[in-house]
Amino acid sequence: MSSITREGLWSSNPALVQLLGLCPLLAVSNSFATSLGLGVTTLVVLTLSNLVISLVRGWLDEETRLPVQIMIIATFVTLADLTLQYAFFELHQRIGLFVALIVTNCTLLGRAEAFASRNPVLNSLLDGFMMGTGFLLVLLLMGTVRELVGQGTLFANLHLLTGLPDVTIQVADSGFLLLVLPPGAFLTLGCLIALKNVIDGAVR
Amino acid sequence: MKLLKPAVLALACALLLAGLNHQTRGVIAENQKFFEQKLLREMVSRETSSPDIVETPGGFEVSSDEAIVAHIKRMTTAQGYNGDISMLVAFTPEKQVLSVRVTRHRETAGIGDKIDITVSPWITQFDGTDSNTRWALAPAGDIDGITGATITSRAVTQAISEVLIQ
Repeated sequence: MSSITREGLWSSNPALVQLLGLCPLLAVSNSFATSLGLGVTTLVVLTLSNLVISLVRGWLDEETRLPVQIMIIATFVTLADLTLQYAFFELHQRIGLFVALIVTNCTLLGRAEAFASRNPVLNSLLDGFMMGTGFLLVLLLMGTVRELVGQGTLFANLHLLTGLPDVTIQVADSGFLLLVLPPGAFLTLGCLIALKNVIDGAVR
Repeated sequence: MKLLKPAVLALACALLLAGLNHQTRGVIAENQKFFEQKLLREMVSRETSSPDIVETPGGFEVSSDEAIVAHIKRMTTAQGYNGDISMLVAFTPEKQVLSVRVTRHRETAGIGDKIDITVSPWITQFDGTDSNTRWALAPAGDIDGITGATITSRAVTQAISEVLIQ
């Protein structure tokens, strides 16, 4: 149990160690609000798809496993997409393009194939949840850094997500624009990975 | 019969999707309509506070007390820096611009995205422009471009002027 948690959050973190799901990680992490929206969606889809794939793992053989896994993941992504349009329409306007891309997030198929299709249901559920949480935390960290340094704000547009009043914190009038642009995503991720390795080295 | 079990799973997935689609379709269409109406009302709010908005080919017709007070046209230009820019242009029957809103774009974050009203009020400088306006970027024309985003600014400016000529 605890080893699954540790792997998902730290030692096999999908964003910092496995480097899976880079496309959504780099594309939506330019603000805290979009990071939170897509991170939570990914977390939910990953947990549910791991659960179902583990449930039906006895039904599948070598030839049919991959297509069925992708079908299950795609089903949950579409369900999430509809739910977002239903409940958070304005947020969907912003991240809708990337929600569909969760299907191609290699973290999902990776966990389905490497874990859920070989492990009991409860362990798979926990693995999905912890991997999803690990991904969400890195996404939030990147969103915070990029928005804060790149735009000089924090929590802009968060009210679209929560329905609460606008809580935007204006730190500066403008920022170091590079961080909001695509190269900034790579630079931020590189720094985070380096930081993790430094911490690992210090602990060891 | 190897495919029987995957087929059952596929059917289950299809039923689940069809079910949720059926449940949410109405509300999603309402959401779409609500936000569109909200935007359109805001665009003509200087002309009338209780607009009657009817969809027409290529846009909308806004009337108040049976008289047409504004037209709103959809416009998409391919002259953007990073693909299409779609916008709505509201203008009076005398062809004076009431307001312009960019509805879809992929311009550079932090530079070209200032055409988006949620990022910068740049687009409001077109309010009140008409056929007497010199439709080019300053200093040759009357429109102030966005620093660092000349192509984007020029694309939007030209697209709006084309709507008025139509």
